[in-house]
Amino acid sequence: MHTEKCAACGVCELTCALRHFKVNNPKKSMIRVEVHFSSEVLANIPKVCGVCPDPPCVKACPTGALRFNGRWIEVNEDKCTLCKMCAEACPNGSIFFHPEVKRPLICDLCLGDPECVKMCPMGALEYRGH
Amino acid sequence: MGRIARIDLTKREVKVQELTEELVKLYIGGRGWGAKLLWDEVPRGVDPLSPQNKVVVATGPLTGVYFPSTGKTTLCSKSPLTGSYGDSNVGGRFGVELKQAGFDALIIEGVSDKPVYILVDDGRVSIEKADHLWSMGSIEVEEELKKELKDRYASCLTIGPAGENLVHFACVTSDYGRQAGRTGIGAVLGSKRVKAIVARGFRDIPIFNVDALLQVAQKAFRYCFNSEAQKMWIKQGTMQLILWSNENSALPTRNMSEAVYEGAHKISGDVMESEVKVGNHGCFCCAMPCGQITKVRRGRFAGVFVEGPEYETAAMIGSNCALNGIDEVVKLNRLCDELGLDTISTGSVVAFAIECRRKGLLKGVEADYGDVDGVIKLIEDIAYKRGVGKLLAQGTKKVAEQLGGEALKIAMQVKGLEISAYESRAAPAMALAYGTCDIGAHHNRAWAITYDIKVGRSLYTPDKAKWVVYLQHVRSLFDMLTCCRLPWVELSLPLELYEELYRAVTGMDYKLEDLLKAAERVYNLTRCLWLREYPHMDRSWDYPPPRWFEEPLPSGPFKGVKLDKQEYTKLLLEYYRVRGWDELGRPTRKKLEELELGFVVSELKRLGVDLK
Repeated sequence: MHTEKCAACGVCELTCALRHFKVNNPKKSMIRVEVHFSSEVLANIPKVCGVCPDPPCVKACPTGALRFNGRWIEVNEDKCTLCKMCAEACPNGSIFFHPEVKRPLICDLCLGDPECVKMCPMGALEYRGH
Repeated sequence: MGRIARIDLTKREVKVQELTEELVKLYIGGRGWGAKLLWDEVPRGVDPLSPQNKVVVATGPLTGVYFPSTGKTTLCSKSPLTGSYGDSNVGGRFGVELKQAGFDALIIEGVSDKPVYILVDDGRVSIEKADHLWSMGSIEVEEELKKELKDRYASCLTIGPAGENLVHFACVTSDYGRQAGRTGIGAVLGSKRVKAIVARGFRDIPIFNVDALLQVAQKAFRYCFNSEAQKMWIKQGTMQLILWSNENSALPTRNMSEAVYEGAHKISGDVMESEVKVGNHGCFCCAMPCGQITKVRRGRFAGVFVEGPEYETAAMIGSNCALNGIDEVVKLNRLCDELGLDTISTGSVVAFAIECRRKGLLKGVEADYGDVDGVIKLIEDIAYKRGVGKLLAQGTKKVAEQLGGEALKIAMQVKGLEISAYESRAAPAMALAYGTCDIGAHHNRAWAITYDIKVGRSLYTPDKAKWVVYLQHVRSLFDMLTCCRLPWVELSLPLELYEELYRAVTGMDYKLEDLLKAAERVYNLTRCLWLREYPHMDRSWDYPPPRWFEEPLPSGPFKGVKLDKQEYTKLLLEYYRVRGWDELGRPTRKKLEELELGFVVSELKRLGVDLK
């Protein structure tokens, strides 16, 4: 992630939502950009799962709906109760919810080949693999 | 079919109505809807700052869809500067949130007795108290609203003190640093005591054929990403135009008395990039994010930051007021943004005031060219209507009418709207574009100066009239589809892709020529809105100010050049002929009927405008 390059255009958001849900809805994205415009923080900050070494979201999930497969976090929708404990545990605020989606939105790296990286006009996103 | 929310501030009542088939099929969206709704709902003679005026906030069919640069919203209202049709579009994310909240447009009418803000919250529209927000700056209030709503993703339209104080060129701000700058719609919102409009929504934006959308989007994004020009747009945005304009003798300098600025290199894109740039901010889904975030590093304005400056601001506030450097431009940009003033009109009004003072035409002005402190004070006096600022807050035309004499020659405006940043004495097509723009002198409708440069600076050939008409249709089509024109203008993204895109999104089988026909329809309707307001309007309304005809350029590569009145008149008559208008500039019945605008004929006839 090269935060200083991000322009908050949201191309990543729409790319993600279309790839995963086939709908034109940036709020169903697993990557989101927060815009800050103040003397304390003057930055556009992309928020997306950075895959913690020992993911606290997995540990926080009371129903075992989340599993770390070594590369990304897998979500088992059947087990998820939408308690949002995972989002509370996430150190980067990179887990999102949408009223129509019955599970947390956590980046799955497009199963290893993230589309948003290819579509960022600013070169602010980079995927180095594992 | 989409929905419109009608917000009656007097009755504190919100009604939801369906978009009509007529609006969708004939008027497309954005300013097309605005023009038709204002024709239907705001009668002739209504004071723009009275409860009877309305503000239409409109998205369009392409707002928020997956395609380069679709984050636009258009605001339309009767303008306090011109007394007739006004519109201005703004980039960012507001329109996307509005659509996701379930509304394609808002109609704001009546007046609230107390300050309010309008909250469009995922399907619900409410009128909320804003006493505690009144008097805040445009940027400050957005931050405050986001804190109150605990939502950094909500998008806002806000006004600043200038809008509250009914300054005739007050703007509407969105996403901290984007403005619907022109025609004073901030003052109309201020007159209704609407401090802000906030939108947030979670709904899918309906797409007729997602696969077809993905296909055309991929083509367009790839095209933009492979463009060399895209890289320059990200680096400097519109600021790269400062040196270009200066080289081409088009940079407004000292109230457009000159077109070459000796200090251009101190306010250029290069100096912006090396001295003050800290990042970019793009509008929604942009493939060439051109918004620049800047922060002054040293000196007395150290720490001042802003989204901008854009070319228009750096030229109208910078060279036109003869400022000394980029730091001063950033400072004044931030000041205008926070106060909620259109930087184009503000730069023109300040420079006009300075020239009037120098010529002994106006008392009470202390500022001078290059005097940043004097300019800051004058701008604040305008926003708060203190001293001479109260007079100047009406814009150059009304001030010049009150002063009379030479002031009328040096008020750089057409139809009441200050001319934006292209000095056009050596650019007849651009002068014609300003003369015939349907909101007053704005470059948005036809940026024809590139054509002047291409075919010849002193030529008045008929192809220039034809080109201006073509641009007025293509460019205003973008404000109807409500997406950004820059990928087409600057990267030459093929227009045919928009035809494919429109079909993928709406399922309507429109050809490009059908869309351009709709743009022509709207251009004729806006002309009729002017005629309804001013039945005596004739050809004389379509001329740039006398300065451009009477005073030759004093310096630069086109030294000695001025517009030729006879030649300009011939060009204007050719323009009318291409449009199917009569020699007074009035659309003919035949043209109106061809465009399915027959309904305007009888109403204009009642006012004594008997169309040929």
